[in-house]
Amino acid sequence: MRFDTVIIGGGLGGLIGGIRLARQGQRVAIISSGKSALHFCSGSLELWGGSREEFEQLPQSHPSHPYNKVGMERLVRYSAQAKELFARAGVPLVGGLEQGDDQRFGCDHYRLSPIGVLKPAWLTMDEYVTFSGPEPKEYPRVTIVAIEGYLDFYPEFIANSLSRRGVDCRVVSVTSEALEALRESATEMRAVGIARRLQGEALDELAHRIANAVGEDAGLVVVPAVFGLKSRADYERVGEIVGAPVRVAPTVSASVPGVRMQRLLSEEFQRCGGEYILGDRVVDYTLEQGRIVSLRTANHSDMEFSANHYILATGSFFGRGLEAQPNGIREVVFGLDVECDASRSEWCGEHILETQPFQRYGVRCDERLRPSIAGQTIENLYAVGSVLAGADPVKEGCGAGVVVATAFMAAEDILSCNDK
Amino acid sequence: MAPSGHKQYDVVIIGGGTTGVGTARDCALRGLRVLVVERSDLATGATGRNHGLLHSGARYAVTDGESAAECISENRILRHIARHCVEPTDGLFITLPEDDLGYQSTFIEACHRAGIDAEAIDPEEALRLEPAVNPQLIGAVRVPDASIDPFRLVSANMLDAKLHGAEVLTYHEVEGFVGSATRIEGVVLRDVTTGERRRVGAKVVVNAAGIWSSKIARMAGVEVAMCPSKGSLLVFGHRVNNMVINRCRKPADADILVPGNTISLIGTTSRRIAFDEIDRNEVTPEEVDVLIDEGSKLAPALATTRILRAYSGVRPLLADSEGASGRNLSRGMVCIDHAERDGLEGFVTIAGGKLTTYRLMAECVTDLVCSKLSLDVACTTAQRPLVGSQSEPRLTTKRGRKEFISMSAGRKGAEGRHGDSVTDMDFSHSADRALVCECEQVSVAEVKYAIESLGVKRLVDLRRRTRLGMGTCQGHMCAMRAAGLVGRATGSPEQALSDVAEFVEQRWRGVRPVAWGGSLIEAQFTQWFYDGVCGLGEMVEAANKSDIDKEQ
Repeated sequence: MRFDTVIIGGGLGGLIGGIRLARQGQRVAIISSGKSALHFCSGSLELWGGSREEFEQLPQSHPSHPYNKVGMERLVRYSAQAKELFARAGVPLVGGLEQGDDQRFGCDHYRLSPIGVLKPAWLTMDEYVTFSGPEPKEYPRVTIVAIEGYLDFYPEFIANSLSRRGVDCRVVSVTSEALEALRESATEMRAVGIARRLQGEALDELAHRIANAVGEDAGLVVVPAVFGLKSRADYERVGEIVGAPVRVAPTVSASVPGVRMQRLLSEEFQRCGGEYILGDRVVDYTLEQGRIVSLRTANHSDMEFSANHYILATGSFFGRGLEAQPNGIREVVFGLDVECDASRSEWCGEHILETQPFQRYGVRCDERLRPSIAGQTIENLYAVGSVLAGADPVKEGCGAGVVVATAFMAAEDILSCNDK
Repeated sequence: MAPSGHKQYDVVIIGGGTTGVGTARDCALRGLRVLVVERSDLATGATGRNHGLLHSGARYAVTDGESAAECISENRILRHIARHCVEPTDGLFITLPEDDLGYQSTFIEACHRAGIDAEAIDPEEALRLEPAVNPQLIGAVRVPDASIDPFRLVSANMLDAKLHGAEVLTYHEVEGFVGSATRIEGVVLRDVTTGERRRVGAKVVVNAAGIWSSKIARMAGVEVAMCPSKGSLLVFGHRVNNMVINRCRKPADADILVPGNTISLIGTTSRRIAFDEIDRNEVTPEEVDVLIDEGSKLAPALATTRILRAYSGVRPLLADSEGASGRNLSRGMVCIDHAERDGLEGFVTIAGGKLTTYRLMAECVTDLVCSKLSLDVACTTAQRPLVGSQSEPRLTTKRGRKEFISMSAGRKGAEGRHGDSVTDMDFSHSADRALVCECEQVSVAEVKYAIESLGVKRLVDLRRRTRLGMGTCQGHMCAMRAAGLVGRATGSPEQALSDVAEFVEQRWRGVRPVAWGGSLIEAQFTQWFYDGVCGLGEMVEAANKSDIDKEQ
């Protein structure tokens, strides 16, 4: 099968690159194992969690950081393009880079974490509760709704954190008949399982119970993200019935809005004419004169995927793009050159919540995001997202920003090659 | 020194390991007023950091016949009184091509002398019984080794002791002694959580502090010489083997593979360490390599099985028992009457020994305590089943098996862990049947029971009472769920969150030495979730800061 571009990895990076290229009329295939970090999305995309100064120091402090390759001009442009791309896919986001804070570059607003910490965010799905500053000033009164028997939402933690910051905060608990059967199964009472039940009448029933439980003067009503699997209109519906502004807070484990975002993006990709090949993985490739000629996959062993360009968007260790063995770290699909510490005793920090060197490991690439094998750059392969070396998504709060920016950059480079 | 008014006991036992808690049970059953004090949680020393092997004694048969005989006798007793803690797996002692097959007959003869049923079996028969065993074996001996859960054993002893009036104070450290240079009359305790101090009186103080016995003894003004020896182990992600597998040769590094619960354990290495290393010892990359290499010789599948974590314990070995006159029971254990040895009344030490012989150690020291108090009451711990092992296991009857099938996952898990104590848990509400820890099938009901009845003070304790967070995910999901429940039960969300940080940090200590493959994937997710998504690091930092501000 012949394509203009074949993308390996169907998470956020692969989908953004794919949509961008397919919209320009390219024939694009995405080969996806089916795993996506979006399934655990907190509802927000983060671009930079540190100070502006730290961002500006990146060329010196971390020369291989992907942001150094993207550059400021492109980053600002891609931010606006991303917002537009998500909106067209049916995922309206709030935020952007336009209203940048002087001190905190990339921080448009603050999101609420599952334990009630206010964290800087760049773009957030519009059903989530957000704050304009690091203190929760705009909501003097908040009512948090717990769902009985649901263990992946922590209203007490959130209430405690907001109360300490001067919010008049209370927690109410509701139950729903639609969830009774779910409770009988010890493992089904999780966000996605609940969201499957809470549709149509069942959702209306829950909304009425929420309305009763929160009463008058509830202020902002915060609910766990356990409905709206198909459409964000569900949140508006609940808001209407409750008669107060309703926003969601993130849950632990699988994220319902994240699952929806993943689905909407892959639908958008297919609407643009892209081929989304799910549940498959690349097992072999042919390299000739510094160019990838073709790929073979596990499920389509009888045919080759060939393209002018390839994008590697397989993620880091968690996404299975990188693999750590006792004697070293390798990139899984092509065996690309990897930037990492050689000895395993240097991979990990002493404390889990402190800096972990392995977070920054990934494939080495040139200024155009093209990786190499044994020092030789591959002319028609791009690496995007967290498979790239140089960024620490946790400590720098830059995971989604790197994914989005490098995906746009690779797509742009591919399109400019075709122009030539 | 407070003149009086403090609480008075017959016996205060220092140390919440199997020996201490087992002694508490024995003393309580003989009618004594007992208090156990433990500076941390129960089972945090060598008790919770070993193989979980109920020795048949075969390992010691050739080198130490007396220990071997003690082991087989205790092995038979524990299979009866602690059956919900024991899995009768049996064990194999295998001979590999590089080993001397001639050793096998020496080994079998020594086993028989000690009273251990040891039977040479055909290598093919061994492979049939245990398909994970190295197929290159040239000889095999079957022995009655078994797997035992030390955490459960401590819980059951503690419950039984409490049922008979004993009191248990965890997170209470002994800071000093009450009395004179010739007579101990009690201890000075510090509540580790609040910093509060109090005195309690005792007719006899039992030093059952394991490797820390020498520190405690010194505090009382006497010497007990211990020899800290570090042993490291690896936990594999699933049960590779169903029988204990040993090498039929002189005991060496990494030559015992024990199945237990959902996992298998390979160990151990052996290295002398300094006393100041006891509380902060780590598993080195070299030890990990030795454990994998040697372990793979017992069961080749280990080379490709995911390693969940590495941990090490410090064996409470006695340096030299020469000074321990009188009740020197064997090379393995010693029971010292410091009145007789050092002229210090009211103070006894029980040290050395093994997990397998904990009950015997408890019996010996309780005999000594009774004789000092001029009491003539016989020990009954060898006959009386522990809490949890009172009734026949459900699966032994047809009706029981039928009942078992229809039980919820959480209840099945709980029954496996707590035996007949499961009847004290409330599974009647659907919300309580929900699973908190999916890897180990721990339900809300079991967590609530552990908080109410098993002395869980902090989130990290829950792991030792229920196996929560001990499975494949190493707690990255269930820690938060459990914290939610603990936070609700204690009404202190801040404490619960700082407990989560402690919980994931403790898990990390074990994952770090083996952080590659699946374990690094989990670690990346754990840090991304707790630190990145939740902001746990900054929350704990802010809480610590505000505590410091308050103090200032």
